[in-house]
Amino acid sequence: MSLSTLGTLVLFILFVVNVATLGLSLVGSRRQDVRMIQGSIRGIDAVAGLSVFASTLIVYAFLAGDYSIRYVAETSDATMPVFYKITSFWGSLEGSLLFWLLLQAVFASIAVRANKRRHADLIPHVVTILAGISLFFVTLILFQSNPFAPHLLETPVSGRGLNPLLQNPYMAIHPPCLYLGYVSLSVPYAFGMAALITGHVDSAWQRAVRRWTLFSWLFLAAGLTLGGLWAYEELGWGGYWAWDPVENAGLLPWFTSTAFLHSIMIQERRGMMRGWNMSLVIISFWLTIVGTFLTRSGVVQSVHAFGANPVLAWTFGGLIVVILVFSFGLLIWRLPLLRSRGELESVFSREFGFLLNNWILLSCSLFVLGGTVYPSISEYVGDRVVLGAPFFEHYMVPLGLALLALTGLGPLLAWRKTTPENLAQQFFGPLAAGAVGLMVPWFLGLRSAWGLACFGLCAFTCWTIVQEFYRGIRVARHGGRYGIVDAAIRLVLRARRRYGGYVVHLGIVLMFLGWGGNSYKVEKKANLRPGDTVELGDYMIRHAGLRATEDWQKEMITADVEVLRLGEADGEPLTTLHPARWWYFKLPEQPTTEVDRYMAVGEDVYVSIQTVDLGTGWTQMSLYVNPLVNWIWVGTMVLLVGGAICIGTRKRVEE
Amino acid sequence: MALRTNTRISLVAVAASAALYLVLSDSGEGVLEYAYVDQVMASPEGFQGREIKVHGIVVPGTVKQRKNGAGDYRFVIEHGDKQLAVHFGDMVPDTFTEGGEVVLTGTLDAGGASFEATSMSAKCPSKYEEKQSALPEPLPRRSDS
Repeated sequence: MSLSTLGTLVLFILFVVNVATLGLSLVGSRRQDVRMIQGSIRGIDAVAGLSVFASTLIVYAFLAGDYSIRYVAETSDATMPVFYKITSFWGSLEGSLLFWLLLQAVFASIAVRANKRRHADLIPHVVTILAGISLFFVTLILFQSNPFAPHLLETPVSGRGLNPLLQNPYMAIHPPCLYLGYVSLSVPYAFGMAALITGHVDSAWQRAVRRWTLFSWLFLAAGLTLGGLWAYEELGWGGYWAWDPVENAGLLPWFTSTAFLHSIMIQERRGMMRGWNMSLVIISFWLTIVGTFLTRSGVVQSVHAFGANPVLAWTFGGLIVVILVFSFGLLIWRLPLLRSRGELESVFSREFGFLLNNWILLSCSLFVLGGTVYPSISEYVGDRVVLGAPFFEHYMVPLGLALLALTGLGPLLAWRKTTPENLAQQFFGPLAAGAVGLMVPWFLGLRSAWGLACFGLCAFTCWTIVQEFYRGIRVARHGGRYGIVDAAIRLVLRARRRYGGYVVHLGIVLMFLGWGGNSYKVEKKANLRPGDTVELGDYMIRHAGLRATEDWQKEMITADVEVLRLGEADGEPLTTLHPARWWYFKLPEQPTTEVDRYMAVGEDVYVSIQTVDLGTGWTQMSLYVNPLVNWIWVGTMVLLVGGAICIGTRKRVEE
Repeated sequence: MALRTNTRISLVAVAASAALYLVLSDSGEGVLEYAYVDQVMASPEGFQGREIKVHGIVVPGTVKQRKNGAGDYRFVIEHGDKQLAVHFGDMVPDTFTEGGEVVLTGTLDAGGASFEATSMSAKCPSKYEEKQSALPEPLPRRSDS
C-alpha cells in the first residue's frame, strides 16, 4: 500500500472514530450512561492517537521524499535541510489543517484526562464540544483538503521546495506557537459551554480553564512576537508589524483572552462579571475561527493568504455563524444563573480598573476586526477602500497607551474603594517617576507627543511594579531574618499569580518602550556604489564592496557595509554589516532579503539591499536606525517568564 | 452601594468624547480607495486630487528607466481594456517585472492621462498560489501564517 493510500485510510478511520465519539458523548450525557461516557472519553484518546499517527505519516513522507503525494511535492524538495522538511508539515493549507487537528485532538485528550474526576459533571459535555470541533476539521481534511492526496497523472521526480521566505528558524516556530495558542482556546470554550449546558456556572469551570487560557495567551504572545521578529529580520522593510490581516487575526483572541485573565479575578474576588467572563471565553474562541476564516478563505487580501478557496470560505463562514448562535443562545438561556453577586462601589477601585481594562481590550479587538474586514465589505457594497498602518495606528496608539496607564494604575487601587489618603500615598512615587520619564527624553530632544507620553507612562508603570516588589520584599524579610534574594523568592512563590502578573506587566512596559522608540525611527533609501558614504542619523554608512557566491541551494550577493560614527569618516568602522540577497535555484524569480543589523546600546542600525548591479556596483539600500527596538523582544521574554510563574499556581488554586 | 447615576453618565460621556475626538482627529491618512485601471479610467475625474491605490498589469515593453538614477521609472499598466501611463520616482521592488501585477499608491494628474506613483507593491508570479490577485501591502508573499 502506498503512503498516500495508507494516510487517507487513517484519516477515514479517524473520521469514523470521531463520529462515534461524538455520538457516544451526546447519547451518554443525555441518558447519564456512565459506560457510554467512558467510551466517549476513550474515543477522544483514540482520535488523538490517530491524529498523531496521521501526522507521523505525513512527516515521514516529507523525510522520505515521497513526491507521489501532491502536498509533499508542492512544499518540499530533496535539497532542503531535514529541519525544514519537517516544518513543511504546516507550510501550506492542507498540512496546516492536519497540524491543527493534531493539536486539537491532543489538547482535548489532555484536558479531558486532567479534569474527568474533578469536574465529572462537565466532562460529558466537554467531550461533545471538543469532539464536535475535531470532527469539523477531520471532515474538512478528508473531503476537502487531504494532505495525502496523490498526483493523479504522473509522479514528479522532485518537489518544488518550501517557499524560501519560510526557510527561517523563526518561521519554523512562529506558526506552531500561534496554532498552540489558537487551538488551546477551544478547551476553555468547551468547559464554558459545558457549564452553560449543565447550569453549573459557579467558579468551578473557570478554575479548570484559567490555566489553559493563560497557556493559550502565552503562546499567542510568543507566536505574535516571533512573527514580528521574522518580518523584521527577513523582509527588510525595517519594521515588524504592518497590520496585515493575518497578523491582526492572531492579535484578536490575544486581546480578548488578556481581558478574560483580568476580569476573572473580579469574579473570584467579588462574584461579579460572570456573564461577561463567559462571553469573553466564547468571543476568544470565536475569534480563532474568524482568524482562520480570514487566513484560509481568501476573503481578505493578505501577504499570508493561502489563496481563494470558496469551499473553505463557506464552511468556515458557516462554522462562525453556528458558534455564535449556539454559544450566545446558551448564554442568554442561562443568563438568570449568571447574575452578578457584587456591585461596583467606586471608580477608584481595582474592580473599576479591571472593567476599564476590559472595555479597552474588547474595543481594541473589535476595532482591529472591523478594520481588517472593512476593505472586503467596502468592495462588496461599492468601491474598495484599503486601510493602511496609519489608520490603525491613529486609533491603536492612544488605546494602547491607555492600557499601559491602567497597567500602572491597577495595582495602586484597592479592592472596593481606595481612600484619598491611600491614593496620595500610593501615587506619589510613580507620578514622580513618570514625570522624570517624560522629561528626560524631552531634554534629549525628542518631540513626538505620543512617544513622550509612552516613555512617561513606562516610567510610571515601572515604578509601581518596583514599589510593589519593594513593599512585598520588605514584609517578607521579617525584619531582616531573610536576605533580599531569599525574601524575593519566598514572596513570588507565596503569591505566584500576583507577582508573576507584575513580571508580565514589566515585560509589557519593556515592549512599550520598544514601540515608543519607533516614533524616533530614522529611515533612508540610498543608491550607493562601492566607496560611497551616506549619513544616517548619528551614523555614517559606507558601501565597502560586493561579493557573489553560491552554495547547493542558492546564489548569493552580499554587500559589505561599514557603519561609522558620524563625523569620524576616517576612523575605524564600528562594525561591517553583510546584508545580502539570495536567489534560490528553485525560485529564482523570488529572491529573499537577508538583513544585517548593528545592535548598539538602545538602537539598531538596520541595512537591507534591494537591487544590485554587479557590473557597476550600484546597490540600492534601505537603511534604518530603529531606537529601542530590541526591547520588544526582551520584553516578550520577560512576559513569558512572568506567565510561566503564574501558570504554576495549581496548588494554591485548588485550596 | 452601586455607582451613582451621575457618575455613570459622566463615565459614558468621557468615553464617548474620547472616541469622538479620535474619529474627528483622523486625518484620513492610511485610508485609501483601491481600484483597477479600467475602473479609474472609466471616470478619471472621480479619482483626481487625492491619493489612491491603482491595481494593474505592467504592459511588456513599456518600462523605461533613467540610467543609474535611484529609481525614476516610466511604464504603462493595464487592466480590462484600459491603460494608464505611470511615473514612479522610487526604487522598484525585485518582484517588479514586465507583465507582472502591481499595486501603486499615488495621484492621478489633472488630465487623468498619467499617474504619479509614490509607492509600489509588486506581486511575483508565485508558484504556490497561482490564482491569487495582487498584494495590498509592500511585503513579499509567504504561504503560511
